[in-house]
Amino acid sequence: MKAAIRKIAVFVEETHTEMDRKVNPPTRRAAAIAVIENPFAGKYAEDLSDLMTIGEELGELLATKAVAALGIPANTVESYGKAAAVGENGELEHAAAILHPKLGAPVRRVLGNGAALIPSNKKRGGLGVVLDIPLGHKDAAFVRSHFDGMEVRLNDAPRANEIMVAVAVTDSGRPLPRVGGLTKDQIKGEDGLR
Amino acid sequence: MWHVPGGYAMREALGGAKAIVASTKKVGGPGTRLDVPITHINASYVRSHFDAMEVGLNDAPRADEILLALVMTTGPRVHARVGGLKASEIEGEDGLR
Repeated sequence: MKAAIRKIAVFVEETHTEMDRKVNPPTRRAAAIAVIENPFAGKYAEDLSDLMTIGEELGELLATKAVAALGIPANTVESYGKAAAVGENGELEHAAAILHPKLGAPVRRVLGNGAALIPSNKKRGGLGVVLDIPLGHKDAAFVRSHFDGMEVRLNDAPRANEIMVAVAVTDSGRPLPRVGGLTKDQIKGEDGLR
Repeated sequence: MWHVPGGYAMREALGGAKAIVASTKKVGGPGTRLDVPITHINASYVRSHFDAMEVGLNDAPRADEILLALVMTTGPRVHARVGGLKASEIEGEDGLR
């Protein structure tokens, strides 16, 4: 099944100063969001494979749009995350079916790599619900400077029979990171963790 | 201030949990909503346990405050049915599978 998309939104955030200190270069992150019809709204379905296929389609679409919004080569993306908000007639499991089985592979294909788990969030909510997309380094989940989150919101989504699906990418970690831990230049890149 | 106590200390309190503690962060005013990501404590890839919990307080955080949250669960999502690694299949060596 193809996704029935009502709208797509793309947000880019650049942080230029933090506590009056220059952030140079500015940290940048982008989130692409698709609002789609939920084919299983209002009823229980045991087999959610249609949503898994939709997840595969949206993984490619949203990763491509988010990278394009940053305007950088896809292989220079540093961290990523994904999230979904299901409208009130849907089920949390509908978000899981979109996010977990098939969305990750096309995201990694767009980026050229990505050994780490794509951190994720899911919730049910009404119009204007706030969605936090967790962020983690794409090659090594323990890189501490890149643990972050991006909040997104659309005033008119998700409607009761819709699902809002988001993918976020960055070209950097947090502004002015200084709490130690594994740094990105120490990544071994073997297990997706360190 | 949160990655060390929120991760290592909680894993210790739970008896040596193996997986990375999923996290998120933001700047916000009173009433801001926070989605706390949730994963299985011993293997990050257990698909039935990818979840999240929304929390918030109408009067926090004030301008000079920080709101910190830890979340724990007793099980998977309700009616989890999208396959993937199961909790019963955890090898429990690397925190991932």
